[in-house]
Amino acid sequence: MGLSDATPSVASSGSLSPSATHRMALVLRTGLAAAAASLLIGLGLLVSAGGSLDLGSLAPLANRAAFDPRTVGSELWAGHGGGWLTLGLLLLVATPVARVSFGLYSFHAERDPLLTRAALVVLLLLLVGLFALGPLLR
Amino acid sequence: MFLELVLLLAAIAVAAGLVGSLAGIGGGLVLVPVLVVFLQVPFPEAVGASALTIIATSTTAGATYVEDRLTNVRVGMLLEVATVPGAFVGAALTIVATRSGLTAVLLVALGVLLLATLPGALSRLRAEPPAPPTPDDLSRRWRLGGSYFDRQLHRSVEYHGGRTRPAFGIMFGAGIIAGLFGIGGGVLKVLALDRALGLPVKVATATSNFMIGVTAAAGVALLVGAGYVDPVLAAPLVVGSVVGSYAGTRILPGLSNRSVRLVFVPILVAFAFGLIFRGVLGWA
Repeated sequence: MGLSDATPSVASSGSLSPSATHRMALVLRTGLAAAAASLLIGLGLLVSAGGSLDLGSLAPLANRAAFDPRTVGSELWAGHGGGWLTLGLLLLVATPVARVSFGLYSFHAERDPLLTRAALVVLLLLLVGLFALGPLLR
Repeated sequence: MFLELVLLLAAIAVAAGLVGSLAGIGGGLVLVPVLVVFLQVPFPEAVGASALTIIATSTTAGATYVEDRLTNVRVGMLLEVATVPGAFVGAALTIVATRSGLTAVLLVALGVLLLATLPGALSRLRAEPPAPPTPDDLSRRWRLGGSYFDRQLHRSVEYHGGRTRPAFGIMFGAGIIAGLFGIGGGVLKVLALDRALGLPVKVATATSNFMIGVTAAAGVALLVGAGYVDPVLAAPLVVGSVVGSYAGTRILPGLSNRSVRLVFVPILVAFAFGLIFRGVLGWA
């Protein structure tokens, strides 16, 4: 493949088709919108409940519950704002993972073995980090 | 008081997101020092919160740049193979350094390293667009090129990648720094894409933004595990950074390469000196 093949005369974002790049942008926007909505709901619930956080309390954070995805279901069920915050952050972290997954699908569909392999490696690494390395440090 | 604090954190994040989006650096270099120095947030918690805002910033800007076809998706996804393992190493080092009291040494070393990159960045201020590099064997084989419509130049600009192997090495380093400090690592990502691969600075900035979210997600995975992520602190920062970075993506396409670099270089200087001062004065 010569260099001229790599430099088309129309706008090119690499090798994905315009429809694929549009859908990739949609994946990113949808994930972010869902995460932002969840975070706003959570903050709204905490504010309306008269949260007690102030500047002075930011320093010793150890007495507050850290981010724990395992509690999201029970907190949402109980109507706690903290559950919505945790859900929002989970959706936020899942968004780039979804983007890589979509890239894997798109490059496979467009018969690009190099990018398919690259996306697969990145996806596997992210999943190992989320489900193996992270919990290892808990 | 809770509402006021939420609004303050969101406002800080709006400013950080705007600067980060324009410079392709993710905003963490603004956010982490502000949280640590002005709000007395412990360094590890600031790193955790910042890493989450980096995902939001990158996603907001990334979606816009992808659709505008400024991002080179091919280059970004290939180089993520290097940044993600780097982020694992960096986040693990943060945890070890925090528990060993070595954070200050790392800050000073990083500040000196970044200052050393400045002469190269400044020497290319006059290039508009940058002179195309000679593609290496990997760049040709992997077709690391593309084109974009430059609104400032009113024409389509074609480009191709140059030195691929150094770009991979720099990207691994960018991943380490991203994991270490909860920043996007965009400073090194833009340098790898701009200087090593020789992509136009707007394409480098957009592609850097595209990659930052995945790199940050890798680091967050480890930081969550170590208990360095506080949802109440992170939530308003995330929401604010989305607003700031979206504003940045609306401004970037109309700027010249020189303008973007003039934003980027002073931030690089501030980042380097900020790190050194924080390390020397023990702010970390």
